[in-house]
Amino acid sequence: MSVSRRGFLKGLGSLLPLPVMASLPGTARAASRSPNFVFYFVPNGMVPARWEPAEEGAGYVLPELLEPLAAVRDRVTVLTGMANPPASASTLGMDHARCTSAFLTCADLGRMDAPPGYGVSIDQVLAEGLGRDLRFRSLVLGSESSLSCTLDACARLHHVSWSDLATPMAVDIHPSSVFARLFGVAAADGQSAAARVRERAARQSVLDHVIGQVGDLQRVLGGDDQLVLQQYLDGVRDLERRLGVSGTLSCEAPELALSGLDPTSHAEVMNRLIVLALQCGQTRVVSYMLGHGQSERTFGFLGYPGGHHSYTHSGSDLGVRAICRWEVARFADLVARLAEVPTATGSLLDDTWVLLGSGMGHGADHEAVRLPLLLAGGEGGGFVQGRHLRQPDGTPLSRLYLSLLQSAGLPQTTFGDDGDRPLLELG
Amino acid sequence: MRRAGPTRRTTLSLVLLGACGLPSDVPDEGDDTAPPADEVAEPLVPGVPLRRLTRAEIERSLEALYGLDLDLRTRLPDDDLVEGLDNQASGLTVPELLLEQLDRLALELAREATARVARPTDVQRVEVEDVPPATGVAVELPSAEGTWWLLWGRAAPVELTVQAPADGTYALRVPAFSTWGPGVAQADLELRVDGVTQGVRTARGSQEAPDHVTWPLALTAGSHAVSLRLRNGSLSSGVAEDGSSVELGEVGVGLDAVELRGPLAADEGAPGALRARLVPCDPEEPRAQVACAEQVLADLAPRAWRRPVTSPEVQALVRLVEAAMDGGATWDDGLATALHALVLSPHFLFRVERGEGPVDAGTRALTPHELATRLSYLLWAEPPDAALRACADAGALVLPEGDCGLAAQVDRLLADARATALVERFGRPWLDVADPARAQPATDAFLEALLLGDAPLEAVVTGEGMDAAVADPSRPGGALALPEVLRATSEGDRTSVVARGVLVAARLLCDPPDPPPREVPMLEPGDNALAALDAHRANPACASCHQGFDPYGEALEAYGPDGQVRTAYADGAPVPARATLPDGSEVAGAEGLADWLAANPALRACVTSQVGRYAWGVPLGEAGGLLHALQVEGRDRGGSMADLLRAVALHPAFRRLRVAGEAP
Repeated sequence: MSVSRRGFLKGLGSLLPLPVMASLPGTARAASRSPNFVFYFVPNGMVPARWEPAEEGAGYVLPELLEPLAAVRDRVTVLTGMANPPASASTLGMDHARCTSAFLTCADLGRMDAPPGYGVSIDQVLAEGLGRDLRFRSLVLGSESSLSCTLDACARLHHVSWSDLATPMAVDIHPSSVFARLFGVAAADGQSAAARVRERAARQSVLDHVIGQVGDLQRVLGGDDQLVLQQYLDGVRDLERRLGVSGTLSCEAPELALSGLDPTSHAEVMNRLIVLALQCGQTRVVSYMLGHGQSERTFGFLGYPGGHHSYTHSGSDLGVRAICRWEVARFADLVARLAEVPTATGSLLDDTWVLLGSGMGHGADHEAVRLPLLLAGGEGGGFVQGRHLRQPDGTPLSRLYLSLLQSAGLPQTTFGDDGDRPLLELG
Repeated sequence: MRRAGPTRRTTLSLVLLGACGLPSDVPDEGDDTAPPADEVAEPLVPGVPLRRLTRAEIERSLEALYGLDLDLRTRLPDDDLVEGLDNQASGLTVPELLLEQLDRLALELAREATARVARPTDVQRVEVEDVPPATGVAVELPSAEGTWWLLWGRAAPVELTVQAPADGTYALRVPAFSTWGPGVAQADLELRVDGVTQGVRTARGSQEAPDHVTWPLALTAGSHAVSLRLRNGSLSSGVAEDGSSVELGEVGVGLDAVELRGPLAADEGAPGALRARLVPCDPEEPRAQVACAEQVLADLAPRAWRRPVTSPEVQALVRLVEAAMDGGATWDDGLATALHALVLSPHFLFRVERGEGPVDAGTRALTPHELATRLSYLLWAEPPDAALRACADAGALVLPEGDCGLAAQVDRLLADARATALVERFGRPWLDVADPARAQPATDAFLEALLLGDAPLEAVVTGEGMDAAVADPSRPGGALALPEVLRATSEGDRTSVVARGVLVAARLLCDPPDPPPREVPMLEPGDNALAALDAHRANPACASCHQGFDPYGEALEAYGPDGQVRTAYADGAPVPARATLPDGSEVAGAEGLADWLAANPALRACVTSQVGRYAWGVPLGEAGGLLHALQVEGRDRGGSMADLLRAVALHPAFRRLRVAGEAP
């Protein structure tokens, strides 16, 4: 049986639930594999009145903040009406912390009585399900370093990716580091087979050695120390897992300027590295923070020398609007780059879901409603792009994540605090 | 990896940041409810969880281990800051990315440490025919240039003198061949230097393809007598290729010259600079390989793990070398594997504290090396140096007196230049000026004088007792008058009374405001800072919180956004001359605020708690008795910041560990 993409779409329209779609034979994805995922976080919300299109469906007029999408609008869906109730219900005191930490977790990361395994972000659930045979189960990337913050909420401003409530995923913000991680393996290509075997044996012996040491420490140290020892052991086990993964790259390292970058160049290099990571089969899941949760990045190059967060609370929204458009342009750049990479059945974008979002709707009022969400790609599975899909007000973000999990072929039927069913309308 | 320009950005963004979790009810010195210092026999020992090294500490620890200058800011992930500090236990999780990057770093450094580097070195060459031995004959060879000296049978030695230009490692190299060639019988040469044998080497080359025979030498500067002798010239039989015995008559050797190469920063086949420091033995000798690995690792492991290392632990590392060599790796690669394990080890990454001796009131004494480690990371942000390790080795660190005693060592560490690490690791984060891209030298100078000088602790706001060059008397306010601090608490071309007020409240009085309630609207800042102030006063929802910290910022309004002194705003309105502080006191400008702060016991209490959480890695909120004791002790010792640091380092609670599961 063979179904062309167009024929598939004509026959089934847009109401098909994703799980069915993913299992349908003959689609590009069913013939190959489940998709890649990129979560593109932007800080401090947007300006909903200048973001939400007036019209629904395919013929909508691009509102001001979405104008930078023009070249790729056919590959992007605007989702409006969505909210993240767990962010609103969070016990964390700081607005930006509760909205940021709940963005990919749909959970209350201030909870004191959380059960084990609570607070895992969507990218890490996908990483666990899809990434075991890859060098990187996920890449967790960003663009800004830490800033001073309070006792409890600090990490909850700087991380959207969490492997559980107590464990934020460290963010790699340096293109040079990401590049070395992706392509450092190439240095081994010139080795003889025997040398590679020797090196792998040596690295395994190092890991065995330190695993033995941490085992000794687990026996003698107290209960409070077991958590960090377990984090250490998990990290070492992941190094061990990687030793079993082929280090051969399916593509060559390009020439890239990796330092001395202005914010725009930094974001573009990160986009290129994200594309390369997916293209080269190094990972299937990426999260990227274009700024941390209360970013005060300055935008003098746009004519707005103040801090981003400060502009969200200033009387004029001119600065925020300029910054938001800049952010959307960075996302559009990523979408365009993914679309440029050909695959056997289409483009890399067809096999990748790319979600732009922020933890809050309007940066001025800190509420996790009217969330700005752009969903790109995924057309290899039959999804029709290029539309504005308005959801009933307050539709939980977690349902979108459940849909994504199901498109990956993963078995979860719930997600976060309130993800009870997929966002069926997506199909 | 090498140090490059600053890349980190840090922005003061306290405005919306919430409760710091520090106790606002720290007992002050006049508090009757607090126990007097001399009755605090065993104050609460803070429960310090297992902590890993911070990125900065990893960097300094690797620098100390390998003697390299490293910049790991783009090589390891950022630590999660907790109220500005990067060494707080609650922020020091162990993310996968850290392990991935530490693994790569450990391997790279191990390879660098074992690399042999070829560099040009001095070569002294003496032709054998110029120092002719008593026997033998000079020949010209069709296959090799120059004149060769042939020796055979009971040959006389070649004797000459070489000059070593400096103390160091050298290689003595002799181009040579065996007259019988390889496969039958090769000539064995023995080298003696100043009468001491340097071992026997075999001349493996043939007449058609002469080879080099090389001995590594450690020579002192000056002249040395060299003697080279054919050991097996009388050998009468050899073994042919087919295994049969061959009558030789005698064995001969052809010698071209004697070359002394060095001193070796490095030469081909000789240690590289880093390698030369780490590998003092000769792994070329097959029988010495294990002993050499053991020697290297027994020296490095205690430094890497900051404690004595047991023989089984060294043997486990040596086995990594042996296993690699069994698999076909070179000794160098085998050692690199062990060095890789040394740095990836949890004993390197974590500050493991287990204590020793009896449990008393739920606490136990740290071992001398654990105490040495606490001290050096507290005052230097790096591992113990050789002197401190020696004191710990001798068990003398716990003694009250003597050069190795705790007091003497604390003084030594504080007087050492390495103590200026406190400026970057503690002082700058404490005052929220940790962004290296915006760092001003004046801030470093002020903080160094404050933290390590004799001025009283209150000089943080008064500058009292400090050199006029670091605390300008015409700019009252101490640290609050530093242009970098004032810049960090301004937004663009206007000051922020809120940011300045929060800095004073949170970091100098430990009374940070709560986050704004969700229903409180955000206000548009006006043209000058006072507009925000007026708006906060006018709106009761704002006033209830902002009146608790805005006035501190108001008192600093005579300093503009870049710290410039001003009397009026750009719109002509005068800056306020007086401010009414939260307790109702009316103060005149920065000087008035400074005097009020200096007289407020909460300042010393707060600074003590800030130093305390830096020292222990946890807030000392549950250990109020300890905070009080440290305050009193610091003041009694003289009252400076250095005295407070001494009080911390010498306090019994600093050398004890709370035993897990046995809360007092």
